[in-house]
Amino acid sequence: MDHRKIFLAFAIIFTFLYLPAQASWKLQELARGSNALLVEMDLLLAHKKTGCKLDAASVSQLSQNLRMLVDTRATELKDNKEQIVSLLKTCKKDCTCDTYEYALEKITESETFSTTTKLSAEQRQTCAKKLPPFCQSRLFKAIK
Amino acid sequence: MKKIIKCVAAVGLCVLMLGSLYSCMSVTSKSDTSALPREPQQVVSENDSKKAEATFKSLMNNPNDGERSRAVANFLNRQRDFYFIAHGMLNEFDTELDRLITLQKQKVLTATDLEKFEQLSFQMRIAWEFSERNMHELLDIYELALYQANDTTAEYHRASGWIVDNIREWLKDGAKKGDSSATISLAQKLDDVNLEVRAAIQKTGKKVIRIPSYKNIYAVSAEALKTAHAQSLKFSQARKQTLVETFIGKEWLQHKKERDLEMAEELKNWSDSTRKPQALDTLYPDAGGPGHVTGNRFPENTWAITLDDGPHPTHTEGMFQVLNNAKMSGTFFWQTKNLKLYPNISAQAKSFGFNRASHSYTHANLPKLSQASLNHEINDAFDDFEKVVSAQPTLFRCPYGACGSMGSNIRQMIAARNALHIAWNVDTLDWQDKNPQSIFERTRKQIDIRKRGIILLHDIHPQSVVALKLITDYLRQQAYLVKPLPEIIGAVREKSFGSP
Repeated sequence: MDHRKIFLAFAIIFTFLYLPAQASWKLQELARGSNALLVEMDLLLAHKKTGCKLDAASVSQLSQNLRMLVDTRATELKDNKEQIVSLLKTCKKDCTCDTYEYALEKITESETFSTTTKLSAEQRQTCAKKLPPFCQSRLFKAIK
Repeated sequence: MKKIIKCVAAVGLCVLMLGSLYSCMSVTSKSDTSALPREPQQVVSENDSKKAEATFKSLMNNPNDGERSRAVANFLNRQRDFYFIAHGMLNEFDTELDRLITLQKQKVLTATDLEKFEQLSFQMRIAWEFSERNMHELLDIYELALYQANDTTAEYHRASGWIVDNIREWLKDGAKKGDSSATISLAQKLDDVNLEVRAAIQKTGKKVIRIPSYKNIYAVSAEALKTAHAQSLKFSQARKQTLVETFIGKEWLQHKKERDLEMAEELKNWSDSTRKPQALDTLYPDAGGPGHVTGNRFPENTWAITLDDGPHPTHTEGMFQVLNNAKMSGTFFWQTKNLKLYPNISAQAKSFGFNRASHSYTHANLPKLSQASLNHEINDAFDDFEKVVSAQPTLFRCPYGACGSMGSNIRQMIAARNALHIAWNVDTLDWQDKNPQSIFERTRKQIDIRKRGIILLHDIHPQSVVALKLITDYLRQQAYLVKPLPEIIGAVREKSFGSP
């Protein structure tokens, strides 16, 4: 088999292996995005400077698009809910608990995983500031 | 061993090729190299490295290093100036928004103000995309120059070295003559590139020759930032009309014209002799605008509360109690799958006088479905809804608000079932927030801005039940009217509208 054929064979194999891997999002990435969107909306409504310069209707639409991705990811993890439960241990650090709870509620149809974390808009902003700007992220572009 | 190395190399190359191919597919990339945006919806591609390389090569296609570095400097100047213009327009938008919010608070906002606001929003969207595109092009070229400056064997090593050496002065010059605040943000982004390139070179084990830091430009005190912002505002106010704004002005006129054409098209439909008498209504089942209800045209101070995704065995009844105690109405958009599981909850809703509507069969993302699956999510959902409720739904809400564009197949299917599509103009974001108090705060602010419309909540989350209590209390305190959605629709179209 010459090199061109080897190259072609690998190209075909990786088309199938690489693309699906790219299409799936980590739940933590989605949860951080969710927090960033809440921050965006809350800053907008407080008449403060926002990161993404969106209006409320656009944030609402992005929220719906994000929820679609969270629902898809939660369904993928249906038989592996321990993975989501383990994320709950550190979720307070980056304000992501609410999304994990949402995912668990969705796949288990129960609220036994509630962390009773109730974050204020200010706490959410602090979490978002620690991360790279959401509006420049791959996730933002995907849901826009 | 050699074979293994060749295989690994081939695999790596494949991954890189397919990775960039996928990146190109996943974002809207732009093929032309002109600085002006052609269409508002076009978004810059950060990963369009080939385009940046082509631009870099064309700039370096000069007889000597002096002219090469000058060509890049001119290019960077132009991109920086465009970036400043876009920032100026964003500043104008912010200022105007503040003014309109003040007018809104004083209740003196006029239709002309709103028209002006629509124009500014349009301008702002273009400015933002324009700003992003130019900034990324600038950063890409800078990154290429940085790599060349750090590689003594690179073709344009010398010219790139001069470019990198002059960037700090170039930034200072930008702050002095242009927009200080935008310069600070640019310096920060350039420094991100510095860090990335440094890490990439160190990873290869090579020596870093020339990587500057602009930290002292952007890591300044809060006072300095405030001064820079004030200077930026002055710069925005003083600057002259540019080619960019002329371009945006033309785009706005085109946008307005298309908007009018859409209205003319609707008018044409209204005068169509094949239309039924309901054609005189402003709202009626239709795949276009008349079949789509947002709440923005409701009478002032009038609200409809809508609750999606249930019925839920406990939370839906919680919602019933809150609404009933507040003597307010609600419309429940339910998944038929859940409705079949809890028919008694539907009967309870009827006894309270709440409206029941359809939210598809299983909350699927409709635009992604085949025709067979769409039939299930819409037609079967309507049929099985009727079996439980003993009436066809006349209101439908697409899951995730995703129905495709006006006139889409999905909208045609909804209209064919004689139902209106219901959107919203106040989003509580309650699915992603467990804190009822912050859900309430977010909702309250939107209610005060909108003054009328449709509030979106979900009857499957515990936090939403608590938030609804706070929202209904507020609506009562502020003397807003909360009415059944079909009743408001009836008032808008001046003809009664029924719903189970």
